Amino acid sequence: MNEIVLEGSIRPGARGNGVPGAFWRELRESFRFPEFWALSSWLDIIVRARKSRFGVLWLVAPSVVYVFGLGTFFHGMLPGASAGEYFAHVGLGAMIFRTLMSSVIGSANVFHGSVSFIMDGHVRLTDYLLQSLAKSFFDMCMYLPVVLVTLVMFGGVSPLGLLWSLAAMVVIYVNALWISAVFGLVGARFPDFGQLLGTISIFLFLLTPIIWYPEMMPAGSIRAQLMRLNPFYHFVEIFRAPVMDQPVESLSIWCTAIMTVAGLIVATLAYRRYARYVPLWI
Amino acid sequence: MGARVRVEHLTLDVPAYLQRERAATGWAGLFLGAAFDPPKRRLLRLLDDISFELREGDRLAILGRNGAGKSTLLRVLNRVYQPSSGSLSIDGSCQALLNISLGFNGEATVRENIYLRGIAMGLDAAFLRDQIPQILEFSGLREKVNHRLRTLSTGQKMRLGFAISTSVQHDIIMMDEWVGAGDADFMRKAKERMQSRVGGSKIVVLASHSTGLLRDICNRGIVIERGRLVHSGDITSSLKFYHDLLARLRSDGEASLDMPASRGAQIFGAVEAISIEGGQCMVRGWFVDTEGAVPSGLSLQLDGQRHVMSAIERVRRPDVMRHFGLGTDECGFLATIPLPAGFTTLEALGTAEASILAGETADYTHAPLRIAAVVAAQLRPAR
Repeated sequence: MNEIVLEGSIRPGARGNGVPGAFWRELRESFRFPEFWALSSWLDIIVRARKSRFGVLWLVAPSVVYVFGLGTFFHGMLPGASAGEYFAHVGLGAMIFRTLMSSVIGSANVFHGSVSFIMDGHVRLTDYLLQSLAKSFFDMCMYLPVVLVTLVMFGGVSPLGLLWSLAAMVVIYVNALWISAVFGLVGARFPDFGQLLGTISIFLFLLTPIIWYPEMMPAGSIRAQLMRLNPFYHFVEIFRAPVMDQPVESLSIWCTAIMTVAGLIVATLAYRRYARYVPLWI
Repeated sequence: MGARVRVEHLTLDVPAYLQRERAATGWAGLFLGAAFDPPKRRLLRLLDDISFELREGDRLAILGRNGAGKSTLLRVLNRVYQPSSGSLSIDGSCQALLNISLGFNGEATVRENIYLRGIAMGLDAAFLRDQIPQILEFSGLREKVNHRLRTLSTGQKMRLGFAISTSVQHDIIMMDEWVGAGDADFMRKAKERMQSRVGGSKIVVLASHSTGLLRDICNRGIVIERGRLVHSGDITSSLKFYHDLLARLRSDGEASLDMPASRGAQIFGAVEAISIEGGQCMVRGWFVDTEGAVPSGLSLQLDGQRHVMSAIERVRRPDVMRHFGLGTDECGFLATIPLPAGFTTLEALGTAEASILAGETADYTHAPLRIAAVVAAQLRPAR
């Protein structure tokens, strides 16, 4: 019963060592030892499906409701818009928006949700960030069937644009990473933050051209300005426009580039300054 | 590589949020105050300039009152809290058994949770696969392996956590109180395993209130009071210092509420001789509580009925005092307990499942004392 166990079975690097705060080093270690965050996010996902009778069906359901439910309703209010194009527009937009938004909202609670692991000494916090991103990536994959249907309905997909959008997806995930790092820290400090984000998300969804077209805003109007101030607009645009063979505004590309660089810098600094306080806050 | 723990000038400040003191003008004011008063931020110093070094073979006892900073220090050693200043270096693999029933996913199965927790501990997936039968066997959950964790009882979860946490031998083991609860059978297994794990560890750090336990396991001790290291030395001198500290605080009348004693310090001791003289039972032995104070109540339980002592005499026991580092040597006793009619032999007491209970006062006795083997043999009913 009390057999002697080989020391080699313990992997010192697997639970993080050294003082937390070095964002990039911890990130590198998280990727080198992915078992923990991969398994825990996977368990979270399948457990969600297992709790209910229809299981995976519930994971796909939101995409159907968003794209075909909301889409059909609002399409009726846009006379002259082609149905295929509109559904593809909604599908791609909703997919990116939901991905980003779920990682943003999730990140506010990511450390609170893992309190028992953190208190147990698993303090490499990037693991929990990647866990939240992995979950949102899975949610995005659940959108794929519906988006594929809409793209077939649309018919005019640009193959080169698909490649572009893949690159855009990588950029979007890099952004999701810094957003969850920063918001995770803020959320750990201020528990209200999650509530705030949840409230704002509805507003942002309507402010982002997902169920409407950006061209519908009169150029130069206050509403058009507001739309361009919304970072989600740019993320959605750089992904959606290439697929649908539309030009991407250079403003969007610039905004995304600046946000990526600035965000990563902010995340690195904030992480270095505040990561060590997370166990105390939660 | 030798295991080593080195702590130098370690200080931990934490921000604390205090609710404003508010003179409630009525129940409405009380409710509103709870809802709208923003908490105030204040920096608290939980640990103040603590230094010590542990090398292979050291078994360290952390002594201190409730809230003195024992658990906080363990968390810093386990690298959950980062020191505000000072340094901490740990060589060797380290496992903390601080809250062993945490870190689970309630909706996942027992098997999945073993993987999850094991991997969080830094174990290999392939290695864990081989460990699963052993872990299930130990926790007695073999037939539950595909059940959801949520459906397990608290005790079962505790057993599972214990089995996983102790499945591997680490260089350094840290404990907040001795782990182990559950039914008698599991307690026995858990005790065996803990002893083997502690024995196999190069360094042990144990925070506990149980003097006897610390005495058995540890060879070094530190005493923490209000976050400061007030004593460091071998276990006997540390226990002595701790008991003196408690005695001093008791005599100063300082915050007796804060003392573990008022929440029932555990009494332990032994019965070393028992005899019957003229319808009265004479019991000889020693007892002491975990605060180093000597209790004064004793009773004899026969068939579930308690019979309170009629007289007790203090006996000097310098041997017990030295062993536990007590402040006084008057911890021995010779008690006289009147026997009910019909009990004239020791065998009769044994048949009635006699046990000796100790307590703070004669009216409140609750802690059974250990019966020495010689006495137990005398009490054994003749067959």
